[in-house]
Amino acid sequence: MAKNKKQAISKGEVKKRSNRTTILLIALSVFMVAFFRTGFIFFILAMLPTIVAFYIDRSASRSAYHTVFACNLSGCLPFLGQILKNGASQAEIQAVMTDTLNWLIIYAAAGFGWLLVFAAPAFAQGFINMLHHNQIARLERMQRKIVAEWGREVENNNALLEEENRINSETNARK
Amino acid sequence: MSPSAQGTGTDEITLIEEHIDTGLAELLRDYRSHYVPGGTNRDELYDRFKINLNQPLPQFSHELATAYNVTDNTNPDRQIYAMVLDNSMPYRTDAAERLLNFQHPHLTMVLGTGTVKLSNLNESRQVMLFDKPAGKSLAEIRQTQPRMHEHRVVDNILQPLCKALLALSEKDLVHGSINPGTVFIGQELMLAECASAPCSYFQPHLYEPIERLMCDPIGKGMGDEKADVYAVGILAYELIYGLDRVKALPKEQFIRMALDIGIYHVLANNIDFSDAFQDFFRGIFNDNLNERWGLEQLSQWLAGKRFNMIVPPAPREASRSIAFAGTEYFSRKSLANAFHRSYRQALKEVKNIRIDRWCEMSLHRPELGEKIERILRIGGEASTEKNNADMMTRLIAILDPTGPIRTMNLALRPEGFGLRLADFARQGNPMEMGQLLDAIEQDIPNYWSTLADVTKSAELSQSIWKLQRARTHLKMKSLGFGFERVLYELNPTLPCQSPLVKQYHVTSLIDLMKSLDALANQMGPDASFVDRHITAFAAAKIDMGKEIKLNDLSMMPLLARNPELVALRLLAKAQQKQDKLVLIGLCAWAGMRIELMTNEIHNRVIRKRMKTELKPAASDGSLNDVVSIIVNRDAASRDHDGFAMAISLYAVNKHRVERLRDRSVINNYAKRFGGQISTTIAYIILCIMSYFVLSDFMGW
Repeated sequence: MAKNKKQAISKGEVKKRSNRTTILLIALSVFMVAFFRTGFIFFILAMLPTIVAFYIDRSASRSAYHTVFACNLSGCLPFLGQILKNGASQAEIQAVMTDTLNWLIIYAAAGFGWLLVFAAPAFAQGFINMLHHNQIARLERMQRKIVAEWGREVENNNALLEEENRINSETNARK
Repeated sequence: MSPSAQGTGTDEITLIEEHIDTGLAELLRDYRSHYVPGGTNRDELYDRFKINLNQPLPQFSHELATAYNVTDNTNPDRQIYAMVLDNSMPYRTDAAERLLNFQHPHLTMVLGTGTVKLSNLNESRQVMLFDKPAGKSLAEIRQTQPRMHEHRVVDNILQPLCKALLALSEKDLVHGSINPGTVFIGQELMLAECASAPCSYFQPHLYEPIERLMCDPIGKGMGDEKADVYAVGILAYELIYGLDRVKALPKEQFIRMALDIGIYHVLANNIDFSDAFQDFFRGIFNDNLNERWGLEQLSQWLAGKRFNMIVPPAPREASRSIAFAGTEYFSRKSLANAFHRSYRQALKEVKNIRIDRWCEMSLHRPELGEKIERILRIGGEASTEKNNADMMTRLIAILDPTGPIRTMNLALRPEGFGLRLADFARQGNPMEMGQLLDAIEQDIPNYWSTLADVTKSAELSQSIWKLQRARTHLKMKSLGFGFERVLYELNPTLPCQSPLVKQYHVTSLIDLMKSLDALANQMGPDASFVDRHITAFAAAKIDMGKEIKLNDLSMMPLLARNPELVALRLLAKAQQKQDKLVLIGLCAWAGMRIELMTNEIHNRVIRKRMKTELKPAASDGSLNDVVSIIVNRDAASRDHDGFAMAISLYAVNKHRVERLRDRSVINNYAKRFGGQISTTIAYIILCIMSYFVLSDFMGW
């Protein structure tokens, strides 16, 4: 019952957070439409990898989405800056949007994001392996020391119980 | 590879105390004790008397001792023989010691007593040396001369025998074996030795008064002077009138007749005794122990005093008989004897024959009837065999308090319990031994002594006291107690019966300790100290009253209950009772046994410390120091608590290692950590890019 309650709470929170994000996105879209006018279309098209990542990444931390978003936005920003600098004129927007290199840069930045998403865990695994290896070596040294001092009986979790049983059986046999 | 090794990689670990050499083996190997177990005398006593083992003397040998010819190195013509005693039975040390070098014209002189190593047996035995009695025994003389005249009997037999008995009495001794085979007639009458066998063990039944006659030969206990005087009386009767008529009777029938009509009447049998001998026989053949003649009356009679004795009354007590097993009985003693002889039938019928009513109506002893009625309540159909046996024994004792204590197969006096036990231990008879031990446990000897209406001798009182103590010893089953302890308590002169030392004839605690010390390099380290005889012998000698509890090892029950450790603690106590007794060999042996016990200690550091301490402690020769190394409360507690903690820590570590090796956990960590890294890098890039775009936009 408590579990159900907890699940209900978390579902409610997610829903609330989702609503908040939607409101934020609508506000941001209105703001960007106001500023960029047709440039907003450029922005939406440029941020397509992020939108894809948003829907693909179902993890709790949503790290893939955040990474792709940051990288994608990093690729977009110079062109957004260029559009804004020239007053978001139609010609400027058109010039930016028609340049293939710009799209290549933008999507390459997003691709770099995806590269990070896939490469970082592998790197982290290596790092964690190294840390664990050191910890295991330290623990095994400690285990060896324990066995050297207390004998192989300690290797058995039930040694105390077994010793008690042995004593009882010997006592019974003697009786 | 074992699963644990796979998990922790502890397979090739060298445990801390492996390969520790305690040095005890070298210490034991190099140790030579100055003490020689079993003594240094080889076929020789006092460096003077040479025992000729190739010259046995069957005429002096008996079941418990073998006689050999002896040469006196200082006087080769002297006729001496040695009695080599059995190591399994106690002997009359008191008689041998008190008669040592005691010269008396009518007593065989004890020339020496001691332990001698015998080359033919390859073991040490107690040996007693005696002058060979000169002349022929009365038994031999009677073959050619069946009858003697009364005057000759008085002058040649009774007078010297009385002198011999008076001399023994002065030494507070009784002979216990006066019969035609032990009385020798040469120039003087000579009474054979009495020290090589238990008192009265070989005495023919006709020479025993009725209360001893009913006992088993081994259960008669130490006799008194009245028993000796009785034997003298029978001997005189035999020499004058002959005993052929009663000798022809089976022992049981003779007892039955004696109980029915009295010894005097059995023997008198219409014989017309002379006036002088009438007194003699009436006085001596009296069934009432209190009225029977002793040495004092015999000497007075021999000195010429006349007593005008009346004929001893026939033992018929009841006005009406009681029927049992188809026979009518008129006296309690006869009935008690019948119950003993037909024990199983008596058990079945005892409640139906209304003995209590018979006592009340026919014996006019209502108090006796009440007593019997109470006793009969102990047994019954629903009772155990033990209870029924207890009931019968007590009933027989009530009916005949002057007779022996009688169980189904045993008839013995309290002083005879020790010998009987030693005999059972020698022969191995568990059923009858059980009856004997049951009687001790149920305090029958004490009950018997409260009923007996005769003056209790010091010997009897001491036996009762010892048997009461034996009850507690029997109840305790640990080393130092039990049947073996009772055996040594009741037989203080019995050599230690342990197979380890029996061949060395060990009779004292110091000899036991020194023998074990000297034997250590042959025994150690394989021979265990768990020996019920050694521990019981030592416990009896130090008068140990409480069981040994190793409370310091309460945390380690296996060690605390280790019987070998208990035995070692007991021996350590025994050593402490002896001043300045250094036993390096025994300590080294004990140390090697303790080294094996240290396997019960889990902590290798504590084990190592204990092992290294063993040799220095053993070198000091104090068993207590050696035992204290392992019987150590502090070490035991540290080991126990530490072991529990070590197990927990090992388990926790093992779980942590398993978790650190778990791929799914690592992948999960890596995913989370990788996500954080990638996000962080991406946002850093975003921040940098934002800065550049902003700076360009703002014109910074």
